[in-house]
Amino acid sequence: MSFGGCEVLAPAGRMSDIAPLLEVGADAIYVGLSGYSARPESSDFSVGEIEEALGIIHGAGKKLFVAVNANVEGERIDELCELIKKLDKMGADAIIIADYGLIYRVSEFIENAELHASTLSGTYNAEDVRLLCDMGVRRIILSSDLYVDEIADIIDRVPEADYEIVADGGICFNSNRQCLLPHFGQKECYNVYCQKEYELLLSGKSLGRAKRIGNYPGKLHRTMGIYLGMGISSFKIEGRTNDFGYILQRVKDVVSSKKFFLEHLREIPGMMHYIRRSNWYGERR
Amino acid sequence: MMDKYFVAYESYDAKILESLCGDGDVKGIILGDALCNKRMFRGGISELVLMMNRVLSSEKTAIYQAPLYVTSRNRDEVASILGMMDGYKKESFVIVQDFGTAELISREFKNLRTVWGQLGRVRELRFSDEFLKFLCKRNFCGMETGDGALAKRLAGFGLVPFFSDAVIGYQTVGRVCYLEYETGRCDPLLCRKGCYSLREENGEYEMTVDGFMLGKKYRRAQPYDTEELCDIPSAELIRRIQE
Repeated sequence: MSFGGCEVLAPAGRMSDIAPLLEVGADAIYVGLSGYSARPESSDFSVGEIEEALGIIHGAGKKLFVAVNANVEGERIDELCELIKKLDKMGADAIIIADYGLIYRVSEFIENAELHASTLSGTYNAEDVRLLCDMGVRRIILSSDLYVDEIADIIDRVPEADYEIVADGGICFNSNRQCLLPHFGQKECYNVYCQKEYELLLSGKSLGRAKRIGNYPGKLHRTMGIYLGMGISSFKIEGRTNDFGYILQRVKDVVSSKKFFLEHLREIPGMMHYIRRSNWYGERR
Repeated sequence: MMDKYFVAYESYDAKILESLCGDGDVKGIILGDALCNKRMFRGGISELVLMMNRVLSSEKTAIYQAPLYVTSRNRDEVASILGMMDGYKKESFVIVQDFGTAELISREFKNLRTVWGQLGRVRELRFSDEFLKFLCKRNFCGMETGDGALAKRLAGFGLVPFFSDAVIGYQTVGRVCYLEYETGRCDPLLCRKGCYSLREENGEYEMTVDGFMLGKKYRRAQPYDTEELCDIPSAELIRRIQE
């Protein structure tokens, strides 16, 4: 098989985050487009800020992706499409979108930037991926609740797509699609209720701290080699609303794992074949 | 109010199914559980197949609720059920939550029509106009919703609003049902019960925030929404029955 590369993708919630992220080895940075990402505006970038960020990031030879992954109703879609056209002309390397309808519309006018299907698009099978590829999507950001064998099957069936995985970030306690807890308010502060600390009360009397609802963040950096072997080419660190010191450490961990695994891939080329592909013995897919 | 409706029981047995097949008010029967068919049928998938055959051979319309996650693990199983339905050469419906399954149906099963399921969302409940247009483009005939305003919007796009009188809420930990997560097994006696009733029966189950997270399986739609449906000629009603 051919090796699709290994990109460390880091989140930036503020302009000041960018230089340190590049310094520790991020290959690409993603930001949210103000008002149109699935995060609050306080951690998003305006079009002007994205233009400034592009100068810095491209100057360092790295890439900038823009997330517009909130579902938008009504006339705001037209406004959003105009903004995406601007971002495309400006040189954004990719636009991350969740809404299939919006992906379809954007695919009709986008000229330079790649289209990436957000993890929120809920892509679970090879037919999904083929449809997205037919619409011009270059990269699939796999859902964090897929099992490893399911990921391997998708990549095996549609090897021509790029695949990204959340290497470090939240794992939903409830099914990604089913959580009944409030998740966020775009213009309010960012609230993920499953991640909050709770106290058990009985008739107003505290019984102590409650069990945390949400799972602790998933950290795949120690097992990145498995995912590289499967054909994942981008490893995302989530959390542009998190404490930046924490994010920087997570990026460093993933970057050092990348270095480790790539060195070993050179030493043992066969490592890439830990995942047996259907074309190994010339089998038909 | 519409006189005929589609019906979805939380669980089925032969007696329930026969009574539904003979009920003049029932237009169609929805079979299949989005997360676990052991919850809906004591005998799991084999009973789903038998009961689907029964509905298909009756005068009622069959609707298959496809799994929430159609992946490499269950794709063949889903495809075989679709093939069986298609083989009856009568119009049947499939509620799907992903475009991949819809593509498969559109490509290979000409007698099946797709309905976008109420679980076909990731975190957000909003649907853009572009998304609704995309459903039309991918040959969806309608969409299931418990929201009266959305039902009207759907009709405006030429999509049939399948108005569900209850919004489904599952008790899961990731993709594993809560009961299996807590006990490591599927227990037919405890399955299909909400957190609160589970707690009453056995205090040892560990709850989170007094069960708020997991909640009840169905949240009923506002009554005025169902009444407003009469103003939408194309609308269909789905009654979800919880024992």
